[in-house]
Amino acid sequence: MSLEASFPRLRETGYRITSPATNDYNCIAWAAGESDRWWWPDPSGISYWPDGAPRRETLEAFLAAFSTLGFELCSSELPEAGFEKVAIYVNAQGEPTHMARQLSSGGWTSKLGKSEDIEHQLDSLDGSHVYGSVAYILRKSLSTHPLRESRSS
Amino acid sequence: MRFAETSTWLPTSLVGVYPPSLFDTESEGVGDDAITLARRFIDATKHYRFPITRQTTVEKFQSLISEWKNDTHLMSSSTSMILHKAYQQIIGMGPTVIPLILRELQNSPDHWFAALKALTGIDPVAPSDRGKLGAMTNAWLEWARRQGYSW
Repeated sequence: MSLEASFPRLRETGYRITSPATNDYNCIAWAAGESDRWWWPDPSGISYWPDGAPRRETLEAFLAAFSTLGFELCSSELPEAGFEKVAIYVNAQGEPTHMARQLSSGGWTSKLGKSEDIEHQLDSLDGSHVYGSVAYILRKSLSTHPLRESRSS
Repeated sequence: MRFAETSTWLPTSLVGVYPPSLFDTESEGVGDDAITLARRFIDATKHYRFPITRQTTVEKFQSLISEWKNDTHLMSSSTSMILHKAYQQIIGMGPTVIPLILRELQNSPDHWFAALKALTGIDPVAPSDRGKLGAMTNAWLEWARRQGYSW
């Protein structure tokens, strides 16, 4: 099934595939700047999850996990100089399903499950039956992690 | 007793070959033995007609893998992947599928670790390798070789 079939808004807003499909990492890892392991708070402990963050599929657990990387809640998805932003999508039950990371261009990058990475607009994946909608935007200062700006570009 | 119209359950290739009266057990002179034979014939024909009853373990496993991969390729939630009905059906097939999972893991590494953990009761993956597909795959394949599995 094509990406556009799963995310119909991609056709209107445009997108670009930026990697081959792989199941080495997922969107949560990609949002965190990693591409060598699968992040998820599964209670069975199969996937990676930061120490100290609860292994529960809740927004609170995701906020706790990303706070270990220096992220905090913010109110705007617009780019801010000196900050990196990530978005958390949730389904109708309020459970996290997906994350995207903002690029220095102001666009967003997502790893789609075991499929490809794409560059897209934040609302391109919003409202789909697959990921639901954006619930929170988090940001962190790049000044404390100077190497991450080049990785996210 | 009277069996339904033969065209609803008899393989297409056999409709017309057997006269409907063959399956009309209410005909005069039909005894218990004939009814038993008719029932056995119908059961055998239904097994022929509905292939799932003829699937081998390997065919069923491959069919479930295809369904699981198709349904989960956009998911990030390893929990949802594990709870998918096809994945659960694979676990439900029992220890006989362990070599099939090991072969699949070797040829096309994917998230089979929860199934292997459920089927074997152990987890050979080091905590520092959680989430790392290559390292987890190697840990399971090495463990399986040590246990004498072949796949």
